Amino acid sequence: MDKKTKKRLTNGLLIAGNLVLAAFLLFPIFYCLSMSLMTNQEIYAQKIFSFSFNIENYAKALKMAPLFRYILNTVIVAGVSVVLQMVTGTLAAFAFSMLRFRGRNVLFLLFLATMMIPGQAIIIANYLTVSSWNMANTFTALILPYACTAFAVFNLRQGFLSLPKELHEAAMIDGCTNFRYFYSIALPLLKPSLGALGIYEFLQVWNNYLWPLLITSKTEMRTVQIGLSMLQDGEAAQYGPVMAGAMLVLIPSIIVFLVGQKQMVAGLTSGAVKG
Amino acid sequence: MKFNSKRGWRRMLAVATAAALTASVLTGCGTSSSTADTTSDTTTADSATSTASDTESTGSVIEITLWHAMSGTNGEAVDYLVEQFNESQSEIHVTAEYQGTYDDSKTKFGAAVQSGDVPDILQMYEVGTQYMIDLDCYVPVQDFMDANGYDENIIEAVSNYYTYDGKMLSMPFNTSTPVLWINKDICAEAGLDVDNPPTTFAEVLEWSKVIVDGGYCDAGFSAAVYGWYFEQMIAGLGLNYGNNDNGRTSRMTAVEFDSNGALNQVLTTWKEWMDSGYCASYGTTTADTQTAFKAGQVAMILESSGCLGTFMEDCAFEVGNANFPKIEENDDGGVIIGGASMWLIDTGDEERENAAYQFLAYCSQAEQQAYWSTATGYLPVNADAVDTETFSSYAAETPLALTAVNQLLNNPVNTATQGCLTGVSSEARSIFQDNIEALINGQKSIEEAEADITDRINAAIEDYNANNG
Repeated sequence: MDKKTKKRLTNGLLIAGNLVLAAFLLFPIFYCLSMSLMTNQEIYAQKIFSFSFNIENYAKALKMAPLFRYILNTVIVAGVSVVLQMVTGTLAAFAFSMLRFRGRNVLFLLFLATMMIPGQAIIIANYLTVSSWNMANTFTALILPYACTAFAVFNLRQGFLSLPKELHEAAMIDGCTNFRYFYSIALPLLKPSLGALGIYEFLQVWNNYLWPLLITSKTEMRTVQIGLSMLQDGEAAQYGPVMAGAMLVLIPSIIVFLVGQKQMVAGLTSGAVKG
Repeated sequence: MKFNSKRGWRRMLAVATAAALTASVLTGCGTSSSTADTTSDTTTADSATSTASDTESTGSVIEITLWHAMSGTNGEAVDYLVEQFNESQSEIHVTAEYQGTYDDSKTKFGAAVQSGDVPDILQMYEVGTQYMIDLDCYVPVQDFMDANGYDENIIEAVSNYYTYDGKMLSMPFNTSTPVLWINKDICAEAGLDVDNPPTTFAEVLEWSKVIVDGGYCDAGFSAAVYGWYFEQMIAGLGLNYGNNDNGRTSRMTAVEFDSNGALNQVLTTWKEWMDSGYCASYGTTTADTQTAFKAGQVAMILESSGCLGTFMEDCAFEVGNANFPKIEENDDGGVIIGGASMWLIDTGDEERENAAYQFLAYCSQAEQQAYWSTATGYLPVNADAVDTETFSSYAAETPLALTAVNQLLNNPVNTATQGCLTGVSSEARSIFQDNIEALINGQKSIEEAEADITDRINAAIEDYNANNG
C-alpha cells in the first residue's frame, strides 16, 4: 500500500466516522421535523418517517399561538441583549485585564460571585424591582436583566489575557491610547471569542422562560418559549403541533449559529504578531 | 395538572422563593390602581373603545383581566368564551391572558401580589385552594352569588371541593375526574366482556392476567406514578386523607391515611400490580403512559377524563372507558374532582369585582358549560348543561363522554370525596411518587414506604402551617 492510498483510506475513515456522529446528532432534529409532518395516528404508530407530508400541525400551531410574532419579539430581545452584553462585557473585561487600578481583583471577584447565585433565586426580586418602575410588558424589561452578565465579562477577560503582552506594549510605545488599542487591535483579535459568546448568550436568552413569563402578561409581548408552552394541551399530550412549533422556533437559532461560526473562523485568521 | 420533572427543581425553587417572599412581605392584594394601569394601555384600550362605540354605549367600559393556564385547544376555548361574553354586553370587557402552566401562574401570582399588578380573575388548580386561602387575596364568590341571586345548578360534587367553612370560595370552571381507559379491541380479542368493565383493581388485575397470558398485549394495565391517583384511591375507599375532616372544618395538621389504613391498602395494591408481571410502569410523566396506551402497548390505563378528545382522535383502535376502579367495593368511596376554579381577586374596587363576577357567572351557565365541555373534554360543572342541545348532540356522537359525567353526578358527597385541603399538595405528591418508584424498584418495603410517606408529609404540613398559621 503506497502513501497515497493510505492517506485516502484514513481520510475516508475519518469522513465515515464523522458521518456516523453527525447522524447521531442530527437524528433528534430529523425526527422532530418528521413528526411535525405526520398525522397523530402515524405518530402513535411509532413511525420514524412518513410520506404524507401533512402540514396541518403547522397550521394548528400557528392558530394556537402567534408564533411569528413571538419569533420577532425574541429575536429583538435576544439580539439587543447580545449586543449590549458585548459592549458592557468587552469594556469591563478590558478594564479588568489590561488596566491597573486599586481594588481591581476584589471587584472582579465580586463580579464572579454573582455567577454563583442561581438566577431563579433572584428572579422574584428582579421582577419586583422592574415592575415597580412600571416597565412590565415592555422590551426594555425583557432585555434589561440580560444587558450585562458576569459570564460575558469573565469569558472576555480570559480572551484579553490570552493576547500577547508585547502587543499591548508595542502599541503603547507607538503612542496608542488604551481605547485605540482596545478598539483597533484587541477587539478584532477577539472575534472568535465574541462569536462563541454571542452564540451562547443568544441561545440563553432565546431559551428563557420564567423571566418573560413573569414580566409580560400581554399575549403580544410574549416570547417563543412561552409560545411553545401554549401548544401543549393541559391534560393530554399533543406532539404534532409542539414539534411543528419547535421546528419554526429552531430556525433563527440555526441562523445565529451560522453567522456566529463565521466570525469565529474569520477571527482566527485575522492575523497575529509576527514571531 | 402535570408535573414536569425536568424543570421541576427550578420551578420548585422559584415557587419556594415566591412563597417565602410572600410570607414575609405580604400586606394585602396590592393596589387596584396599578391593575387598572396594566389593563388600560394600547390594544386592550383600543378594542375596548371599539366595543363601546359599536354598541353606542355612553358609560365607560370596565376592563377586566383574567389570568389562566389553559393552553392548546383549551386556550382557544377560553378565548371563545371571553369573546362571546364581550359581545353579549357592552359594560364589561374581559381580556384573557395565558400565564403558563398552573404552577407557573401560581408563582407569577405570588409575585404579582407583592408588586400590586394583580389580575381581576385568577384561574387556580384545585390543589392550590389552600394556598389561595392563606394568601388571603380573594373575595369569596359566594358573597356575590348571594347578592346577585345566583341560581345556576352547580353539581354538588364539584362545588363541594371549593367550599370551605360553608362558603363557596371560587367559581368552578374546568373539571375532570380520573377514569379507567380501555383498549376495547385488545380486551374483546382476549374474550373479555367489554360491556362490563372492571370496577375494582382486583378485577383489573384479573383482566390483565387474561390479556398478558393469552399474548394479546405486553401489558394489561398501567398507571403513571402520579400522586393524583394516590389521592383518588384513598377517596375510593371512602377514607380521609388528613385530619380535621380532610382540612375542611379547620386547618389540617396531620395525615390520617396512616392510622385509617388507607395508605397501606394503596401501597399494597400498587405493589401487587408490579409484582404480578401483568402491569407496566412508564414512570412519573403521565404523557408517557398515554403514549403507550395510544400505541397499543398496554390495554388499560388510569387517566383523566379530559383525554377523551385526543384518545378518540389518535387511537387506531376502539376506545372504551369506565368508572375509576376501587380497591374494594363500598358505598362511601368515590372520586375527587380535578381541574381548576376561578378566583375573584380582592382589588378593593367593588365595581370591578362585581364585573368580574358577572363574567364568572356567565361562564358557569348551562349553555357556556356545554360549549366548554364539548370543546375541551372537561366535564360541565353545571348539571343543566347535560340537558342542553349542544351537549346532548355531542353525547349522542361521543357516548364515552357520559361515563365521567355520570361518575360525577353519582359521586357520594362526603369529606373523603371532597378531597383534602392542604398547602403542601404538590410536595405530598412528589413524596408519594418517590416512594412508589422505590417500591417498584424493590428499594423499599411497603412498611418503609409507609413510614417515609407519613413522616415526610406530616413534616411538610407542620412546616407549612408554622409559616402560614
